[in-house]
Parts: sequence; C-alpha cells; structure tokens
Amino acid sequence: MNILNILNEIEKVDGEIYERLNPRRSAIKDFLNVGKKISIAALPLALSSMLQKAYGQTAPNTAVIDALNLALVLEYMEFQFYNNALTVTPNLIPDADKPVITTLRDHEQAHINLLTKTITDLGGTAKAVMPYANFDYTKVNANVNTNYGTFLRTAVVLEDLGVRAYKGQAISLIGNNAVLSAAVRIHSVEARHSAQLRLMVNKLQVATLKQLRPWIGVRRNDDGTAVVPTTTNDSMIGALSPVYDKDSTVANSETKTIQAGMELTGINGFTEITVEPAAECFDEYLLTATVKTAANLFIKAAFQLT
Amino acid sequence: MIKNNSEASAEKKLFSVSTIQRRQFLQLTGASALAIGIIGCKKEETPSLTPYINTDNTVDFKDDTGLLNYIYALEQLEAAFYIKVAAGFPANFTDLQKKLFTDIKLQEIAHREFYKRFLGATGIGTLELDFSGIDFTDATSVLTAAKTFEDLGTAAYNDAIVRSKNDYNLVIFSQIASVEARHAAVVRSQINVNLFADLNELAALGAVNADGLDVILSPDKVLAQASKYIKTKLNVINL
Repeated sequence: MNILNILNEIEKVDGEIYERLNPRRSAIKDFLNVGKKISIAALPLALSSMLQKAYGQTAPNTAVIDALNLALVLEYMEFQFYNNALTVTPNLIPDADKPVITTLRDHEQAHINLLTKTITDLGGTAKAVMPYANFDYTKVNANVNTNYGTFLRTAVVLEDLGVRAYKGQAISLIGNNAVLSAAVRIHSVEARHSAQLRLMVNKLQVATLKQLRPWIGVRRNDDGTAVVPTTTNDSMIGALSPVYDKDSTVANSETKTIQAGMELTGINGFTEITVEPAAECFDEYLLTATVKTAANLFIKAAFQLT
Repeated sequence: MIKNNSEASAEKKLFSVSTIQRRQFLQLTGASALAIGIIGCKKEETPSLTPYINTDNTVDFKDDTGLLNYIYALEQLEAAFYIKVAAGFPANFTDLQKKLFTDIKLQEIAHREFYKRFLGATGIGTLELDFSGIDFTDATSVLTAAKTFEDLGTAAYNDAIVRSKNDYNLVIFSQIASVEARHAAVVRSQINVNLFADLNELAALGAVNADGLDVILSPDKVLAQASKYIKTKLNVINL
C-alpha cells in the first residue's frame, strides 16, 4: 500500500490535508511509524486512527494509556516492596546486598517518574501513587519481612511478572515508537533485575531451590535433573502459577519449548538442546487480563485491578 | 455518512463542489477509512512471488528479513563464543560459573538454530568468526568479552523490537531480548555484583540511568562493534 497515494487522494478533496496534518505532527509521525510495522490488512484501521487525530478528534490513545498505567501499577508494586525493606526493615537485607536492592528501588522510581510523565504528555491520567499499604506481599510466605530468602523470592516473582507484562503490552504500543522504545528498554532492565535476584536466591541454596537459574524455564530438582512432567515451572509455589503459566487461550507458559511453530528441543539435530535450554531460551509474554489476575495476588482486595 | 440528495443539493447552493466533497470526506474519516485504504491499495504494485534465496550473505534492511539476518549473525557470534568458552573453562571459573556459562551456551545455540530454520533459504550462511583477541584461559578476558557480547546483543534486540515492521517478528525479538538481558546481568554480576544493571556504565550503548532505561543501539553501530569478530563479508544494504 502506498501511503502517498492515499494522501494524494485525500488532497484532491481536502487541499489542506498536509497543513491539517502538520500542526499535529505527532499524528502523521505516529502514522508513518505505524505504516512500517503493521500488516496491510490492519493499515486501514491505523489510517483511520491517524486521520481521526488529524481531523480534530484529539482523545488520547486509550490502548497506549492503559498499557502504561498497567505497567505503572507494577512499578509501584516493586518500588514499594524494595523501598519498605530499605527504609522500614533494613536489618532484613545483608549489608553486602544493600547496593543491589537500592539499585532496584532506584530503577523502579525512575520508571514510575518516566511512565507518569509519558502518560501525562500523551494527554492521559496517570494512576495515582499506590502506597505500600495497598499491597500484599505475603503470597510466597507471610515471613516476607523477616526472612531474607522469602523477600528475595517475592522480588523474583514481582520482576518476572514485570518482564512478562511489558512484553505483552509491547503490541499495544506499536505505532508509537518513542513509547515502544521506552517500554522495551524498561522491559530489559526488569529482566536484568530478575536474573540478579534469581542468582541471589541460588546463592542461599535453600532446599528445593538449589538449582534455580537466572532464566525462567522448567523446574530442576536439587540434584540438577529436570522435573517430569516438564510443564512444571521453576517458581515452586502453586499460588504463583498465574505469573508463570499461560494466558487462558494462548499456549505461552514459561515452560513451553515450541516457538514460531518449531520444537526447539533437539532443533536441527542438536541433541544437547534438551527441554531446559529449549524452555529457557525464550521468555513469554502475558496479556492484560492475565497480568491483572497475577498482579492482584499482590494487591489488597480494596485496591485490586479490574 | 453520505448525505441524502436533498441535503446535498441544499449544500451545493452554499458551497462549491470541492467543499462539499471535502466535508463529506471529513465525515468519512474514521468510519470509512477502509474505503480510503482501498483507494491507496489500487495503485499498489503486485509483489513478486518468486522465493528469495540468499546466496551472498545479504543483510537487506529493506524489510524484516534483513533485521532477522542481522540478529542471526549476532546469535552465531554469541553461540560460537560460548562454545569456545565451554570447551575449556578458565582455571578459576567456579562450578556455578561453569553451570551458568553452559546454560548460556545452550540457549545461544538454540537461538542460532531457531533463526537458521526460521529464515530458511533467506538466511545468511554460517559465518567465519575471529576470537583471536580473547584469551580463553583467562577469566577476566572471557568475562569482559561475554559482557561486551551480551550488552551489545541486548542493545541490538531492543532496537530490533522497535525497528521490526511485522508484529510477529516484534514478539519473537521481545521474547529473546529479555533472555539476552538476563545473560548480560549474570555475566556482569560475575565481574562485580553491583554492575548487573549499571545503566551509568552502559550510557555509551544508549542506556539512560535517570530514566531507568536500558541499552538500545542501531544496526550500523552494533555492526561497527561486532565486525572485528566477523571474518565473513556481510552484504549489508538499505541500512
């Protein structure tokens, strides 16, 4: 599809099309970005969206705002968790680990600031700050404020959820490259967080988690063998399944080994690619509804996402 | 959305034909963008259906095939590096480090083979690589090289997600980007735990610590840094 043809056709009936587009440069810019990356079948819809913006309907893109606000809730959840530990129960964290937890906290604060500003700049309303008291961090174990292992494992789950959630929202951000770029760069920071926290859990060598890896996949027994059936994820707590399992209608659990229709176990004759690397080499997204279900595990009833 | 005759004729008395057309067009926007889409489509050339076979290591950035081939080249580089590391770990690597690097090796092989099969005949061939600058017996040399590859890989993937034209490829890139970021954090943590996500140190690769944003780098910049390890001539076009 030739976008210029479309604009030329429009120009025949609206000589001011280019001026009309120009004052709202973001509209045409968004559109041209969209045109590069969506299928021809979807283009009329994108064109419609662009023209609506160009022709005076300036309502903010609710899909983008919603995606960013969902991410913002997860950032509040993570920030409050680390900040509480650092400021309210500092003895929980060994001194040697305090710089890491501080880095985590500071990154989440930076993400909160950036998301809030981005939402506001797009004409949306950012979700108001959610304080520590809105959250319930006891799903791994109620001793989360006194047991460092529980604290770290809870952090792992929050970060893993964040990684999956950002991945799932990326689709909603197609067409707005500035926002998409920010989201994917937050996404990989969250993945770094998860990997570091998983290493710290591994270091504690607690029973049933001695083989926990920095990458998500099938569960390994403490002797290093993969758990059979290999549909069991590595979180070790059933209540956390919404964070690691599939969306209701999508086969995207973190233990999956088939990508783009191709079985990765033993791919192209490489027998060393067993089920563990086959599952670990791809992370999986979570869609909005499942992210909310998983996030609500950690949010008190009155403040849950709907 | 199209006015009835009496309304339209009434308006004709007040406005020129072109104005009416314009007003009708304004009412069409949104509701009937599909029709406008068809106007544009009519003039589109019918694409060639001849299957493309990549015989000269072409990385053509005019579409996602080039982007996938570029990432495939980086995965070949990473996989070959870790295969060489795992073939003889530096003497002072701990058992955990051996385990982690073996995991990474297998994941990179899986990535490489994934792209090989995904691209099929459109894919570049097996690249000849050059790791002569790396001392594989020295832990510091290995960790420093691994850190370079993983941060560069993460920066390349983050850019590829945004650059991809097809949302299917976007999803694939995003699925692997976070795995590369995990690798990067783990490798960095072996050098110094507080480096795992040191966004200040990563500023040269596009990270912004004040915003908590990770690395992102365009293909030309990534290839400029990776080229010293790649002996095979890549035919990079339309970048």
